[in-house]
Amino acid sequence: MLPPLPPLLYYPFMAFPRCLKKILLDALLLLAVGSLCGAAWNHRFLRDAWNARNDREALPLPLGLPQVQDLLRGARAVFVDARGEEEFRRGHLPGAVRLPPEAGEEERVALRRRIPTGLPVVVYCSGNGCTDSMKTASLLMRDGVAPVYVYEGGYPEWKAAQAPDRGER
Amino acid sequence: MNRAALPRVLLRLLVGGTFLVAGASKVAEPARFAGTIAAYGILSPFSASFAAALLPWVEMAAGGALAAGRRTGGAAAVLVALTLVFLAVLGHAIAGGAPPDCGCFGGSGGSAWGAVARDLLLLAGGAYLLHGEAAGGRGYLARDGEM
Repeated sequence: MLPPLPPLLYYPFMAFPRCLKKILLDALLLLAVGSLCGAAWNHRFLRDAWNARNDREALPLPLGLPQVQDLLRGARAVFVDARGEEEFRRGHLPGAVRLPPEAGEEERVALRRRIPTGLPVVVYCSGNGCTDSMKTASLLMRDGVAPVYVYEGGYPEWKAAQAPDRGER
Repeated sequence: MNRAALPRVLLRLLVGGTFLVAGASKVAEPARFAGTIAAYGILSPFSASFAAALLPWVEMAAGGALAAGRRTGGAAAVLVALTLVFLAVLGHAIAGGAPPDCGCFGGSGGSAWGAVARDLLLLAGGAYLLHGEAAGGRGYLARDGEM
């Protein structure tokens, strides 16, 4: 005959079936309420995401400074500088390559060949209000590069965060 | 309120309040949160957008219910499940070599290891509350409407 289980072991198993149904129903209810609220609040965002799922004209997703710093630390992304040559020469994110929106298709093709498949591409320019990063990112997405992100804070935010700037060394 | 129930109420407020704040901090900018999710490299941009639209609200619904002491078992079950998913995603990111910012509180920074430690504490708290509900709340653990 098996020895009796200590109370802390058998007690939950004895009581669990009675409460399991209520817990599961409550969990499903909360999931449904949360999901419905999220879907209602973000219906336009979800509609745009749905329409853009196979659309190469879709807008790239934005990234914040913490994500950019982490991607830089791990060298897990290709950084593309969409600013002018003079600004790029004065300073840029480590390892960034310059590709302004007015660059020709040959330059974009050359860059695309250098990007390993699946490695994210992060495009930036002179911060909020600058649209060149969005233009370059959209062109890269149209060329079939994915995933492409836009770092909205751009070089000024990154520089202000006092991250190391190899481009100025 | 029963004085003996105070620690359990505080635990509910702490765990539920943390998820409530975490969800609320991400509601305003779903596109930015979608970028954070997509940067983990697990979901496609569309799936990341879908998760970014719904996840903060599920966190708020379950966190709010737990903090308020309503449907405590269900709320604790949802939060434990979410925390397990978060831990798996963080583990995947850390195993990949360079852990990204977790994005747990809307991109306010914080290391992945810090997020793992916080998630483990939340998991322990949530599991404790869930266990109490599963055991019928008899004697030593939380129940609905204790506050």
